[in-house]
Amino acid sequence: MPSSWLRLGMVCLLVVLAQETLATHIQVWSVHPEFAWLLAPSIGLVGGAEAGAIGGLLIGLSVDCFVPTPFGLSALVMVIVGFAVGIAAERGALASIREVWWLPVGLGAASGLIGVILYFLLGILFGQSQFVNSPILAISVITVLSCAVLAVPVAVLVTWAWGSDQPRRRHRLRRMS
Amino acid sequence: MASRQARKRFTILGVLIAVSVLLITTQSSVGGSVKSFGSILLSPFAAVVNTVTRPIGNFLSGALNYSSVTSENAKLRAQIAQLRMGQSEVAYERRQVANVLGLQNLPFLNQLPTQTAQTTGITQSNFSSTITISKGSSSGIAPGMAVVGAGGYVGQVVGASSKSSSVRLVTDGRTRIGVSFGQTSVMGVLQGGGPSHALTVSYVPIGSLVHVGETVYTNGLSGSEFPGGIPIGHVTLARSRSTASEMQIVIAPNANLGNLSYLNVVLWEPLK
Repeated sequence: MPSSWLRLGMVCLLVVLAQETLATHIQVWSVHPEFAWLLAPSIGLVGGAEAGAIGGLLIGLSVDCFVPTPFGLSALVMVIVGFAVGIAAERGALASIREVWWLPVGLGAASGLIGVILYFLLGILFGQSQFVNSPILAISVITVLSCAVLAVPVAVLVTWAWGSDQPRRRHRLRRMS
Repeated sequence: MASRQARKRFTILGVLIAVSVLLITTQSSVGGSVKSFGSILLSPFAAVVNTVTRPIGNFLSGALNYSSVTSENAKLRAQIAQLRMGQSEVAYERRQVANVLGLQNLPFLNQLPTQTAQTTGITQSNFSSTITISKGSSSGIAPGMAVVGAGGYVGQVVGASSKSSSVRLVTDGRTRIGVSFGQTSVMGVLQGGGPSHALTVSYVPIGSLVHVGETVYTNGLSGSEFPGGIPIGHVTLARSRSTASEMQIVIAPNANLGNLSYLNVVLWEPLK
């Protein structure tokens, strides 16, 4: 296993554990922040669509070990979000992410919002009737804020973990074409 | 070349989505087993991180909710003062209660077999909340049984392995219990509102004799999931609106859901 995957695993585990321990102590409007949604898109951004999807599955399953909702639901959402961001990055849609300061913050906030809304809708689809009564507006607002605040630190950590020894997907694609 | 690459990656995406969906739809078998294994694997790391981060979390929580912390402090001081006043009466009241219980053959909990268990974990998300208790099917616990704490109903067993069980708390949005009000014959269906939200009772006709402060019990009708007479909570709002077809009733749980160290599982199952 390349050392970058090991580093990435450790970073992801740390973020997931921080989410499930530290974040659950912080309640605003009876809702706690959720920032683990940032991981899969961050991996998709640096490693491409496949890495984003595979990373999303593993991170999502780790998150699902701690929550009472169905095992695999977070994983499903993170696979989709990680893959989508990876595709967008490979097609150059996020090429200026390093140049424009607000782009990583906006991407983090958008990832959090899309993640939580997808989770909400898929949860209802898979028979979680209690989701209908959940304070989805408050959850969305707190998730977007926490993801926006932590987008840059998480992206920096994931980029460091991924390292320069990993070939980037978009460079490979360019070479192939 | 590029299209083969695209096909490959969409195949990977399809496989990963299929794995996730398979895990979601096989909660009682494959998904549940993988989750249990994962929880066992991750829980030591979580315990270490929790120990380190708890003071930080408490600090941030206090800072973000400063006004509610101060008002909570004021309420607690008032409660302590009340408790001190009532302390001297407690011994006498206990003797009285013991006498009454000894004289009367109460038809519910004290006759039903129970199993005392310790809370070993709280799994919470913004969407749902359950707890894990230290006893399972080897102690006679089965899914569907009621769990009670000091004050009354706490939740329902939703999963039981040999040594532990999952309990869905009464506040969970999936909670549906047939209830009756105090000594009256008024009945309704209690529903959870999700974590940190009030319980409500539906299907109570307009003009029914329901008053604020009245205790709500499981109704124990034939075919219901729980025995009758388990106190669940008390009415905090009872309103009849002329335009509505049923009363608006809000309930506060009697049991202290913030402190669930030890609980009793009522070993009772409905007749099949």
